[in-house]
Amino acid sequence: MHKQANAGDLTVTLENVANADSALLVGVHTKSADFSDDASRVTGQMQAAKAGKVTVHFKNLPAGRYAIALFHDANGNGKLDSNRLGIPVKGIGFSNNATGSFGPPAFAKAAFDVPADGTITQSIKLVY
Amino acid sequence: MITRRNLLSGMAAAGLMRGLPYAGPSAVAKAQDDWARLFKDALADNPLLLGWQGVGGAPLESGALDITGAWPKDLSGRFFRNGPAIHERFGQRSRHWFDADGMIQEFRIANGQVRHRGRVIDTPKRRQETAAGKKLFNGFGTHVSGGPAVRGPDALNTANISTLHHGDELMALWEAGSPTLIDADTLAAKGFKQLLPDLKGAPFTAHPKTDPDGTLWAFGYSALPRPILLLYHIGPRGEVKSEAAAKVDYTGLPHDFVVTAKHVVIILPPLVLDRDALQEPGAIFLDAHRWQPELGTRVLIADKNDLSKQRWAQLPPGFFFHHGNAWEEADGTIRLDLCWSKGPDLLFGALRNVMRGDITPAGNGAPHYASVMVPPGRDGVIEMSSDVMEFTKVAPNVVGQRHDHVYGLSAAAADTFPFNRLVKRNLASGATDIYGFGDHIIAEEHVFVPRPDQKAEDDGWLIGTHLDTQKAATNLAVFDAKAISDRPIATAALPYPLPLGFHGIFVADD
Repeated sequence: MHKQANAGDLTVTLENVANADSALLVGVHTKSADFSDDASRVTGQMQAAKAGKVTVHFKNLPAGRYAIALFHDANGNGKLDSNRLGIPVKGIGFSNNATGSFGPPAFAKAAFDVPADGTITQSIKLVY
Repeated sequence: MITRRNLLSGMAAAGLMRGLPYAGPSAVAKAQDDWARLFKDALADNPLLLGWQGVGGAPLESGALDITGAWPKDLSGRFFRNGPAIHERFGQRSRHWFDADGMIQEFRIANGQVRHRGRVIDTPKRRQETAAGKKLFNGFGTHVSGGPAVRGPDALNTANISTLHHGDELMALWEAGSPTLIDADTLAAKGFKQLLPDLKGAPFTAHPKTDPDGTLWAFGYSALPRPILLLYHIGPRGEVKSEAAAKVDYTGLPHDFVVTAKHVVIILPPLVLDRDALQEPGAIFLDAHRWQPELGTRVLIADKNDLSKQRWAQLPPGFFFHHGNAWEEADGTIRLDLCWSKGPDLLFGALRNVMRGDITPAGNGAPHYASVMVPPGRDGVIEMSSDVMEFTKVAPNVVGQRHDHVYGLSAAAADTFPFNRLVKRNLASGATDIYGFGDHIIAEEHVFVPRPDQKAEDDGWLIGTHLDTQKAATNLAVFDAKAISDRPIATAALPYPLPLGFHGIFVADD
């Protein structure tokens, strides 16, 4: 793919992946840091899980402000399953390792800038 | 005594009541570092504050305590209490009485002698903070920034409200998460008890009710990420026999409940969590609640034989912590005791203010004995007395049955916080028998312990602690439940003060 003007690369390093079950679903958002917010998600990747560290690359993201919301889809159903209390039962993570109060963090807490040129890295620790 | 500071804090609490936004992050940050100093300065002027000073966390252990009077020889067993105890850690003071890590106090009573042990409840929350060397987690009324992600309520569980002995297990209870198992010999925390196999962190009330046959009834509520109210039927060995959910739009912080012979009754005050407000930087769980009296008070009545068979009734708006007992008339009318307040001022005001050294009036949160009647298929009626009452208890053998007496704490004036009187109330006549401990003493909950050969409902003792702020020491007192105003039969004096706590249980020796 040709390098676009005003676009940067994003490298996401996922740490603390519990096991190699199924996949990691990594979403890049522009309005919220909510996995389920399809309207906010501009791109996403599915990456095979492996215990420990997994790296995901996003190339040519238009410069701007983004947040990452991801989860370890260990049972491969593509959903962030929750228990009856409404608490997710899969490993989750957000850019800036932002934390929410019993829900996704506010976009502002998870937001970071992708530059017009070059690469930015986010290290995200999954929490199970 | 009204000082300018009292007045200001009262006004702040009144503002919250009107649903004004909570203080912004800058105001919170500014106020944050000086609560420890404010408390220390205030304690020098007001010895009553000793009850909220807190302890450092080292185990406490006494020898045989000095006893005044004659401790009843046939009262033998262990009296356990729990309550928030570590009010300051890493130089930071909790912003609400409810927020400190819990501590189990054990009074071992045998052969007319009493010994005390105290152990901090080392929850996962506390262990993580110990390892980090700083506070990490938000409390009920305390904001802590920069902590790790929280997955479910047990990450915040301080196990600091009450204790339960059931199915041969000793537990420390919080109310928004799992029970914490306690080793009955060492008093060490052994981790959470998972109540439901399919639901980690299922919330469990601090006030489960035991039927005379050993069946345990309980509920749990969770406000986040969505409001949930679960009802539990637990067998005598601790096994969950059935459970059901109630459909709720809000949970309203229900702290206690009652059972009749046939029904479970859970009462929700109109204190509604604004979940959006919690997303603001520096948000505090308590302050994200809005008092909405227009909703009234909601009463859930569920069938003990099938907890999914439920109905709702209404009561006027009010706030309450503790109930007493409930029973049913032949036509199905439910009658129950409630410590009723007109509003939640105590929760937002005095119980918070005391942590920075302000003893402020109970305001609209002054609790009064009230009797509630809910006729079958209809809304309820409440009759509030003029008598201050809280920390209500009844004899264990009348739980769910018609009862004649309720025991509790009281104060000289309706607006007074804390309590320094022990009260026995005769429900038929409204007559009260009162023992006043004195102005320099703060009384804590007293538990009814039946005599081994109990015949009459009040054939037993009331056992409980009080803090003597002149002697800077906690005492354990035992009263004859038939004659409270006669003064304690016996008192055991600790050589040290204990942090004021919440709830106790008596576990008789086998």
